[in-house]
Amino acid sequence: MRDTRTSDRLIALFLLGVLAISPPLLAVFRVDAFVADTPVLFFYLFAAWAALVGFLALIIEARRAEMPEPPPED
Amino acid sequence: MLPAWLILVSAFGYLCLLFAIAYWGDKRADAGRSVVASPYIYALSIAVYCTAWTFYGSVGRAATSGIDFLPIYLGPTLVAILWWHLMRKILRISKSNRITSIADFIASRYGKSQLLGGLVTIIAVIVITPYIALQLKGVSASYQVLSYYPEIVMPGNQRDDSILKDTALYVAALMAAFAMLYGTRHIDATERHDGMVAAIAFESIIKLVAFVAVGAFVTWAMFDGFADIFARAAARPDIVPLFTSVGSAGYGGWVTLTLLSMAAILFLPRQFQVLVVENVNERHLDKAVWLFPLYLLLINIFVLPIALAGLLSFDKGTVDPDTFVLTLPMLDRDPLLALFAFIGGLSAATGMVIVETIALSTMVCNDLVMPILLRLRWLRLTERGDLTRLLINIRRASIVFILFLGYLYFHFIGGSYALVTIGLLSFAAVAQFAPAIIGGMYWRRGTRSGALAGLTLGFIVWAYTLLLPSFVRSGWLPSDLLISGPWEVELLNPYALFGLTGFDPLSHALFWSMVFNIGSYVLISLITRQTPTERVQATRFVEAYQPAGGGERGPQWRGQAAYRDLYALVARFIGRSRASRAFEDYADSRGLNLAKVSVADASMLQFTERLLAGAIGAASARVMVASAVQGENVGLDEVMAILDEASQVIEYSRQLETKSLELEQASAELRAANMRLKELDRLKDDFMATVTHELRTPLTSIRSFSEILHDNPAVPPEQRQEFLGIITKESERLTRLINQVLDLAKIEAGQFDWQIRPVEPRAVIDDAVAAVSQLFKDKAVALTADVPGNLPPVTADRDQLMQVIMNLLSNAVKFSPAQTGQVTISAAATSDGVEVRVRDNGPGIASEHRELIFEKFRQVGDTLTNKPEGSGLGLPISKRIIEHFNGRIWVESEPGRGATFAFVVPVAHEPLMAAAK
Repeated sequence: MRDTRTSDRLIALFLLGVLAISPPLLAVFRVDAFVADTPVLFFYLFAAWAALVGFLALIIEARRAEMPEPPPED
Repeated sequence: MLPAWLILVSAFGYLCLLFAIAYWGDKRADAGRSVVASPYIYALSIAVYCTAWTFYGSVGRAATSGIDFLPIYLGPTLVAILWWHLMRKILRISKSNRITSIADFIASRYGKSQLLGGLVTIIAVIVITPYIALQLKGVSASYQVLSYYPEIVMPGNQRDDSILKDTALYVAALMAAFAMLYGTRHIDATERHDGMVAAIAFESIIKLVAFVAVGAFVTWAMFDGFADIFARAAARPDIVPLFTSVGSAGYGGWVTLTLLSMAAILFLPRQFQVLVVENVNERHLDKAVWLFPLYLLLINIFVLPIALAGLLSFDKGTVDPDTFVLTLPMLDRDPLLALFAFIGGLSAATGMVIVETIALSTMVCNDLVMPILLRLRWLRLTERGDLTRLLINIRRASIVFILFLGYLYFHFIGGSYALVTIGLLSFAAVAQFAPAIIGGMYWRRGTRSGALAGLTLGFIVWAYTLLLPSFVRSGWLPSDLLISGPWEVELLNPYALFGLTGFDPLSHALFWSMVFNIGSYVLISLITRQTPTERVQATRFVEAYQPAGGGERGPQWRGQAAYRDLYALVARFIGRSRASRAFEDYADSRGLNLAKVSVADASMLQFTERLLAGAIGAASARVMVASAVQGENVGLDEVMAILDEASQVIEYSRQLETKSLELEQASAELRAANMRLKELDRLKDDFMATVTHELRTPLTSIRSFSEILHDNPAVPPEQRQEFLGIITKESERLTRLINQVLDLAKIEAGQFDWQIRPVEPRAVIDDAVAAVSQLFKDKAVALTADVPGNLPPVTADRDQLMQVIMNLLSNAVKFSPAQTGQVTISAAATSDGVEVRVRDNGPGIASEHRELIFEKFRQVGDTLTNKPEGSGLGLPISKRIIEHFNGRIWVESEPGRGATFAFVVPVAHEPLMAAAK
């Protein structure tokens, strides 16, 4: 069932998100260095954030695309 | 130059634009073409999360402690991922329960508890009003900074004390007007405020565009792109630590902020208002799930660059980092951008103030003021039909009250530490709602007492570990409280409760408040019982969510039931007439034709449940209705819990059933007895009528022959002799009849003088045959006796036994044809006693008459034309005599083949000889 799959994907994404901003991973990126002229921690957090939002949009929109649009509400 | 009037006119113009948008939104809604029915407007309205605190404060935080402004937005992003599960369930619950605020939600879950609703409202007002004050402060401060353009002067240095010159007052007044106009248009609080939402969405666009514009300007106009800012910052040893800092509170603070913001995005009153109450369509949530985090991401991209640019551009300590968004454009002499930044901050502040005030006013009105007013009996509110005007006025008064309170906070303690930190403090307070709400949605067992205890303790610990220290830091309480604890008890130190050290104050407070909150919620829930209402509400909340998705307003009852069954169910409890009337009223109100309704829909099921609940209680009503519904899933747990309670009821009803069964039996017996009495009465009447008739016939003939003899002395002697013979015969008949009636009456009354002793049957039969032999000769009917000599003696009254045999023999001869008649009397010993049979070859007796002939005066045959001789009392008397001997009499016959009358009399046990002595 489509909804179950979406639901599983979202929970997996949530866990990934929790992991991404967890202190141990932050500690890994807390280095005084630059990536693409940007501080590593700043770059990592925004990249991870953008990735989370992107995946979120992908999962939701993929589901919407596969689900027939319901008749408009009155 | 940037004259003050231009700033004021812009600000005023912007607010007027908000009014216009809200007006337009409401007009569109009234016309049925809602502008807010769009996932984009919905997502933008959720961005009311970003307040002036975000607009100005994020940069300030980034400038002092690096990246730790981010958890406030990362938390909501994580929650947004879960919205698909969590918020859909909240939406489903709220729509089916008509929930209008966070206080309503908690109160409704725990058995519609007014106490809980009131408690949540009070907590919300206490912690949110200072938050509103903070927004007013943001507006006021930003106005003051801007008003000195092009000079850059910090607000604290140029305080203007006149209240009338205080922009915050006017902003507050305008906000109150806006909230009253567009937040209380309808009284049905589940109706949405389209105009307000449209204005809020517009504000979200303005603040995003303003912030991004300032960020882009700073990054690319004042500096040479991100790389330039970072490179220059990297050269400053005092700024470099910010690149790797996660805030002064370390990882603990990072996690705490993330958790607090996760709770805030769900349970702040304004978030609940836009997310749940103003939600038009559940499907809008799908897009908002990723649009809202995207919004947060966009509005945060330029935070660190602006913070770094500010630190690079101003001398350390001269300019408050909280004003960088405003002062950087001012530094570059760009008045219009500075004005736009000011408007952006204004939009962030006003958006928050409007929604928060409306949300709080709904709570204050519905969960605090109205319950109290309704309890004041002398107001007689319950007797008033229309309370809408009163409700609107209470809400408007609440709006004014809340905003005025917010303004007072700002005016009198505006610069205090307490106010500056209230943002995070209110997050921590709102987090106290989380256990009761999340627990209530997923844990059926959570009780009202548990929620009350959790909320109260959590709030007290919050106040003790966060609010109290903030008072100390504002200088209102002695500072040694935070060092050595109250009354020198170090274990009670608000910053190190029970000796817990090593955490930042916020984490420390969150930990202890949650320990007390969750701990008491779970513990008290486990040791207290739910009332039936609580149980029903718990079920409605926990089971509201169906992963398959479905109807917009998920009905409480799924599945179908036959109307017939529902009617029968209700009729059982409240009676047929009341049930019919109730369903007819219901059908009338919905324009249904009951005759055509075969399958009941969800609302009819709900109606049935309500109807039943009045008679048997809500919990049982649910189970009863469920029994009639096909396809309704009631969880096993719930059924078990309800059965717990229902079993007692069932026991009672079983006892009742037994009682009523006994009553029914008794009344059936009474009815039977009554019938018997009536029958006896009728029989008595029949008997009287028959007896009189039977007496009259011989009397008539005696009288008429006597009269002939009396009136005609010249009657010839032979004829006279003949007449006298008839008179004698009729007199004998009359005597016999009277004797028989008397005998019968005596037997029935039990007064007959029985001479019971062992009797030799053969001798009796011989005597009887001899006595009636004349009758046989008269009619020329052959009589054969077949009686063995060795019959055992029987227990009987000899004369009466002979009477019975004579009766049977005379009956036999009576019904046998003359000349060809054949009557046989036989006797034999059987296991029951001695059986005597009298057989004739007369017309026989139809089977339906075989019992009747033993009743008094029941003669078989057409009594008018073919009246047999005899009184009709012979067989009834015989029956009673035989039965008195403990014997049995019956008839065997087939019509046309004669009849056999037989009786059996028990054998005497004492020897004949002994008795004969």
